[in-house]
Formats: sequence, structure tokens, C-alpha cells
Amino acid sequence: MKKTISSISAVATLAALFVMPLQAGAKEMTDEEVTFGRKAGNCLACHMIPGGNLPGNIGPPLLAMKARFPNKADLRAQIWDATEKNPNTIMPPFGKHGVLTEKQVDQVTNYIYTK
Amino acid sequence: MKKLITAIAGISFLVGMASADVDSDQKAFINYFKTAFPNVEFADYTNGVYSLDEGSRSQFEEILDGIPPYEEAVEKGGKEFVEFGLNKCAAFKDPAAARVKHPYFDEATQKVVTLEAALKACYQEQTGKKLGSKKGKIARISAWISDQAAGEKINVKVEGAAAQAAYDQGKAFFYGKRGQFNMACADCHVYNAGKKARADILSPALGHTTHVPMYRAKWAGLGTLQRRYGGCLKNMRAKPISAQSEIMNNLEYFQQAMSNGLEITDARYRK
Ligand code: HEC
Ligand code: HEC
Repeated sequence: MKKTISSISAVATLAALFVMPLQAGAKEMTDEEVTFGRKAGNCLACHMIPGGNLPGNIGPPLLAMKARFPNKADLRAQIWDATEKNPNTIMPPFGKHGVLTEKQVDQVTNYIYTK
Repeated sequence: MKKLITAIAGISFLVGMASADVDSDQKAFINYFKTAFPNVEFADYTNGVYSLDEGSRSQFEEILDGIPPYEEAVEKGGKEFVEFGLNKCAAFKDPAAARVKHPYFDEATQKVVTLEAALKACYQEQTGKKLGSKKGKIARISAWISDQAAGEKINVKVEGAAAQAAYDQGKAFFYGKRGQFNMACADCHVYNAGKKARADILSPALGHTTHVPMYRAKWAGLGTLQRRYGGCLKNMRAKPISAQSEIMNNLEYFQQAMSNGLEITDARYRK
């Protein structure tokens, strides 16, 4: 029984590794489009972000990011893999699990950093 | 912050994967929701998200006061039940009792038998044909059977080592992280119940199985509990898992047991 469980999670991890990160199609997405897009960052699913409609409230509002993250690399790290700070977090590890490309993680970081 | 820390401490004991008996698990489960939502009566968890959200509750009640959009389908399920001879199978001689009995752990096969699994077996026996697992005929017939038990209470038993192992596997699945988004069922339906993901309020897992098969406006039809599991797995970007597979049945076994003591209801509407 235990073996099934670990093989299931192994399969899930493998599946995650092989899911291709969402590549920008013919047209490059803007920083805002990557952040808000339901099939990209979809950060509004959980966070209020100034300028975005119909936000969820699972995570804290993303405001005053420069004050919260004096070091911009820390903000990027939170987006790349939120489980570093909180292993139980519901926030997806956007970079680590390839939900977003490295470039898209940069784009989201840049966009959020202006809020 | 302090509130958050206590909540997390509460969680870690819920997540404890060590085998625990159903009663003590459920006590912890109920207490968690009681602390999170002190004004919600236990019996009201049959109403899913509407037990937590005043805003959408009135719409829900209006729909139930009228002719619910699934009424015709459920009636048709009742006719199909007879038409296909399902009343001739021992498991369905008494439909109300069948809803209350399932899911149960079958010592002979060492597997959990869900109501839908029993229906599939009976349908095949009577007609020589296969029945689906998620929507259409099986959902209609299952809903009609469950209607016969409306007002009775969910009472899933987990007795013996093998039953306990199946339950434990379902529980581990419910609390385990999976998929590209690295989420657990519990992330949404325990720790963030009542919160909003975009415009969707997250239902509490307590009561997840009282109104199944459920009608969803988004589906414009009825679906089995495991149809919904498939949708949530997809939203977590997890590997698809077939409805009525052993692991999904064990997940259902765990979820049904966590709703023990709640009334089975014919109020199937969900957004
Ligand atoms: C499914 C829910 C969810 C999604 C989607 C999500 N987050 Fe989060 N986020 C959270 C939660 C919950 C926290 C609170 C800390 C924790 O639990 O890790 C958080 C914390 C944060 C923080 C730290 C805030 C602070 O003040 O410390 C930042 C920054 C952040 N998220 C950015 C993002 C960005 C950018 C995206 C989209 C690319 C995103 N989040 C998507 C749930 C989510
Ligand atoms: C990202 C958040 C999220 C995750 C993770 C998630 N769900 Fe859901 N689930 C939802 C939303 C949103 C709905 C629709 C609103 C509601 O009823 O909660 C829903 C609905 C449901 C329902 C129907 C509730 C009802 O009253 O009809 C069930 C049952 C369910 N989920 C079970 C699960 C299970 C089991 C898992 C894990 C395999 C899971 N969910 C994972 C978000 C999630």
C-alpha cells in the first residue's frame, strides 16, 4: 500500500517535470499578461493585485513589494519556489515545477515589484 | 500571525499520516471547522459552499424552492433503475439501504465498493453492457437511489486492518501534495475553505459527499463524486486518474467517512 503511494507521487513528480512550461506563442506576452493570464501566472487566483479584476484572497494582497522585499532577488525566489519559505504552502512553485519559464518568472517579478 | 501559527499547529496533527481510527480523525476534522467557522452548525455542512457563504446562499435556496434543474434527470434515473432490472440485484433490493451501506470495504475482494461500483456490476449483470462512471445514466440512477435515502445519515464503517489500510491510503491522498501546482486536496478544502480562488469560494471537505451525485451549473448536468475529483485533479495539474480506480475509491472512502453523521440530501445544486 505504501509502495503504491510513493509510486503515485513519483509519477506525479515525473509528470510535472515533463509538462512543458507555457511558452509564449507567436506573440510575446507582456509582463502584465504573464502575471494575470489564467493560463500563465494566474496570480489573481489567490492575490489581490492593484489593476487586476476578481482576485481571490487565499494569499496576502501584493502591495508595497519594494518595502516587503528590499532585495528583489528574494521576491523572485518566492515566486520561483514558495515552498522554500513555507514547505506546506498552497502557492505553486512556478519556476521549480516549470509552470512558468525563467524569463516569465523574471517578467512576473518585474511586474509585481512595481506594485 | 499568531492565529496562523495555531492554525498550522492544528493542521500538522490532522495531517499526521500515522494510522488513526476514523472517530478520532473525524473529531479532529470537525473541531478544525468548528474553530474556523464557529457560527456554522454541523448539520449545515451538507450544503457545501453555501454553508459558509451568505451571499450565494439565497440563490441556492431560490433554486431549490423552484424546480431544481436536475429534477427531471433524477426521475428518469428512477425509471432507468427499473427498466434495466437493477432492482433485481441483491445490492439494490432496498435502494435507500444501498445508499447508506456504500461505500464499504469488502473483505472478499479486499477492496472498497462504492455505490457506483455496485451499480456498474449490477448493470453489467442485468444487461451484459458496461455503464460509465462519471455522468449520464450512472449519475441519474445513483442520484435517484440517493434520493430514497434523503434524511438518513452517512455512516461509513472502517473495521479491520485491511479496511483501515484502504482508508489510510485515501487519507494520505487527500493530504498529499501532487501535480505541477504541488497542491493537496486539503490545501483548498480544509486550510483555505471559505476563501476565494478568483471568484470561487472553496467548500469545506466536511460534507463533500452528502449530495452526490451533484448537479453543477458549469456541467449543466449531474456528475458523480469522482467526476468532480477528476476536475479538481485537472485544476491542480495533476496526472489524470480514472474514476472508480482503487485509489479514487479509497479517497472516496476517506471522504465519506469524514462526513459521517451528516444527512444525505437531495439538494444537489452547486455552481
Ligand atoms: C493557490 C494560491 C496562490 C497562487 C496561485 C499564488 N500565490 Fe503567492 N502566496 C500564496 C499564499 C497562501 C501566500 C502566503 C505565504 C505562504 O503560505 O507561502 C503567498 C505569498 C506570496 C508572496 C509573499 C508575500 C509577502 O508579503 O510575504 C508573494 C510575493 C507572492 N505570493 C507572489 C505571487 C505571485 C507573483 C504569483 C503568481 C505568479 C502567486 N503569488 C500565486 C498563495 C498563492
Ligand atoms: C486549487 C484549489 C482546489 C484543489 C487543490 C482541489 N479542489 Fe476541489 N474544488 C475546488 C473548487 C474551486 C470547487 C468548486 C467550489 C466548491 O464547491 O468548493 C471544488 C469542488 C470540489 C468538490 C464538490 C463540492 C460540492 O459541494 O459539491 C469536491 C467533492 C472536491 N472539490 C474534492 C476535491 C478533492 C478530493 C481534491 C483533491 C484530489 C480537490 N478537491 C482539490 C478547488 C480545489
